[in-house]
Amino acid sequence: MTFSLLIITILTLVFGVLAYFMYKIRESKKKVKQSEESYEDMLKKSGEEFFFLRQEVKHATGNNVSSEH
Amino acid sequence: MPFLIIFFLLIFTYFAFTNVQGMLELYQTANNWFIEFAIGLIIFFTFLVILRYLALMFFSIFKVALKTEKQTDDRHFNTDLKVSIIVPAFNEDVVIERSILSLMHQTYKNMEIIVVDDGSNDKTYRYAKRYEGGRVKVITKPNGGKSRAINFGIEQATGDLIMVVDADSRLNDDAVGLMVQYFDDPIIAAVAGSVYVVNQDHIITRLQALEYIEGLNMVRNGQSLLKMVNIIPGPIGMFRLDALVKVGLYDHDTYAEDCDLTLKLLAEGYAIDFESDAVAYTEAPEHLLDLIKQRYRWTRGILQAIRKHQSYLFHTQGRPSMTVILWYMLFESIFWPFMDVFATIFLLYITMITGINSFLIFWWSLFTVLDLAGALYCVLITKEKLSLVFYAVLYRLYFIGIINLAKIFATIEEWLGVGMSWGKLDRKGKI
Repeated sequence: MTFSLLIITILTLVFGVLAYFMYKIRESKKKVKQSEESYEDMLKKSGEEFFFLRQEVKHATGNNVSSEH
Repeated sequence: MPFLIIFFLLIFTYFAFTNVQGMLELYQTANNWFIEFAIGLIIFFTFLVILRYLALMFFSIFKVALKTEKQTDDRHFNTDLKVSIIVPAFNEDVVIERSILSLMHQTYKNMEIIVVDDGSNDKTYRYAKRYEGGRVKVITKPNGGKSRAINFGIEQATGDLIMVVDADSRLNDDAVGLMVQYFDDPIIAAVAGSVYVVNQDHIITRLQALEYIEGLNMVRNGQSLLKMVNIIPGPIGMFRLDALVKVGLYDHDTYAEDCDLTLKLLAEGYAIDFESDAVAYTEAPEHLLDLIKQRYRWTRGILQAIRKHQSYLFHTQGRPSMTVILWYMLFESIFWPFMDVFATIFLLYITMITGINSFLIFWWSLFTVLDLAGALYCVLITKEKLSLVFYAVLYRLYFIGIINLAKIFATIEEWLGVGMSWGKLDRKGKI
């Protein structure tokens, strides 16, 4: 009982600190994700009806070739 | 059951006495200023927290007795006052319909419901619109935060009383009627209701359920004996419109707008009461990181509200109740979390250097027994399950430590002025 209580107390403290930093990391990741512009946002900015996105495709040769979708 | 409470209190007295006696012995034998200082500090804060706990529990018991007597003598419902219920909603499509339905089923009929969609980018507005007509009005505005949404709703309201209900909450059918009767007394500016956790299907939500009945509802019940409730909870609160206008409605400069408004009303000299039978069922966070997120915002918001009213801390300015409440809130938000974590680390240190582990056990047992007695009392006066009482053991062992650490980090970040956002929680739709 005594030993378990000691261990649980130490683990809770460590876990509490870890959990807090995990929360901070998760929130900062969410923030980055939210700051990324969506297709709709870009469309609104451009004022066009639609636009194409260009994606870099890496081939096995190592050369970067762009492709339009 | 009263015998059980007395039994717990007797065990508590034993632990308290043994703990303090042991600490005093260590204090006398230690030749180290740090150990002496730490023991003195721990004994002082332990005494304060026990005093606070017992005082609130006895205040609460006294309030229940007074209320029961009043109900049997003279139970009447004033229906002259019109109530405008404001439901601020941002991305609440999972829960908004159930929330509106619970308001439509209220037994008190002299009321209107105003749903304010705060620029949601989900289907909240569309779903709420289905219920428009009669007493229900649904309005929308560009996203601007909860406090602005509530103020926008108040501007459209035609009632004498304003009730604010979170969109993720469901009320019991007589909640509005029970709260209205308090406004016969002109000094009452607001009435808080009880908040219960509805999704008690995880250990973490059951621990929060225990915290809500013991740490929040019992505390409000105790505070209401002196009509000094310090926070009107977001899920259920009713205000006198005149008083709201007098204090300038909700401010937008804190993350705990409910706490800030309550303090503004108290500073204006109004009284704030509590109706334990007016119940709001709300969803509690089901994941630890979401819980930390919620408590982080609560702590920083409360500290921001205290800072706004800090002039009352050292000068009563004719409002001694404000000074008492602000110090109480500082104790709850900062002093006790720091002290609890410090004491735990210090007692671990004592155990490691002396090999005596009894202090840690007594420290933990002391508060666990107190929590068990409090939980038992709260379960008896509420409709919560008796099984919640046993979670008091886990509550002290695991839950409070983590919450206190989150409060400490939030306090440090608030002091350093680290930026923050509202941090909306995802709803599961279980209300």
